[in-house]
Amino acid sequence: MYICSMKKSSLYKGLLEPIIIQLLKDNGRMYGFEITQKVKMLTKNELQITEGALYPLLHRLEAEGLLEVSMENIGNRIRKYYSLTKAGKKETVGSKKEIQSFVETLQILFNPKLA
Amino acid sequence: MLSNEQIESLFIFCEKHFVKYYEVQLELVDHLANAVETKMDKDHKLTFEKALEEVHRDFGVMGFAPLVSEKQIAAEEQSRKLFWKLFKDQFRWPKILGFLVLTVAMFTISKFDLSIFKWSFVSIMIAGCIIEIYSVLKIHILLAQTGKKFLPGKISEFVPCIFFPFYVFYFPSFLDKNFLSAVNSTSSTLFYSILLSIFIIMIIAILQTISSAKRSLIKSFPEVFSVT
Repeated sequence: MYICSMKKSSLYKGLLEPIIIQLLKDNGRMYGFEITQKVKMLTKNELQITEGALYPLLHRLEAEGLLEVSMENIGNRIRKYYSLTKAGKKETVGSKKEIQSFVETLQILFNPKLA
Repeated sequence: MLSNEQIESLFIFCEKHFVKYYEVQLELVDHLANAVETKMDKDHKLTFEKALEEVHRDFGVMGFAPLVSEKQIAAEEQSRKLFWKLFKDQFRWPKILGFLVLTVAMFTISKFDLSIFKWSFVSIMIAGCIIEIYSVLKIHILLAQTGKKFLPGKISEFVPCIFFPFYVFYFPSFLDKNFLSAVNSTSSTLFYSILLSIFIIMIIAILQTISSAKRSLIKSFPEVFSVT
């Protein structure tokens, strides 16, 4: 539905959760807009996470206990930061392994000589 | 950086687009403000209103609706999970002693006098109902004083669902004229003793859930709750 915009969007479906978890692992704590910009920057505009996909996922991960939030006053507004909980940190190990095995599987299928 | 008036207009914009919960509004306002600022920095001719319109369009045809509904589902799930966690905690050592003492006490009363057992059960059920209503009302009053709508307010919707079986299936049987003859066996009095202990533990878990939701709100939004 509204996973990620931009070309090849369907290819990224299902990867949004590990992407966010990995970003939070690397950056400590981040807020929603920062996540969208970071992904855009790191992938050189190849991948753009839409707000309609990002926030529901962040809220679900928070409800599942993988993320915790902290609020910070930044002048005339309040910012909500997300960071990984202990359970979320454990999840990074699992999701990284899953993605690696996913990439390897794709390599077997699309580039059997390299595999 | 946007001015205070512009931030205020973002809150109004959220309200107009059916984002009623303050927790969601706060996050959206910061997101909209960031996105608007980025657009205005790139194009100095762009007005605030025009930039906001463009940012809102980026949310897609459904606008903010998926965000609000998902947050609502996530918050309800979080409350339910917390309640069951606190409930299950009561069955861990040493808290389980409380459950055992309650069950043994009720069972002993039943052996002593069934009529006292019956009225103890009825009184505890009524007291439980009063405590539930009082604690739900208390959090509602606290939230109402802020003039804002918060997601933990929805706890009041899930509390009656949890206690529904007790009041619908078991409570009426106690008021039945034939109750005393119906429970005149060790297994049935033991069953009702366990049931009552579970009910009391559920009340404790509900009170802990509500108090945890309250603490979390006060911690997350001190600027809103410090004035109440």
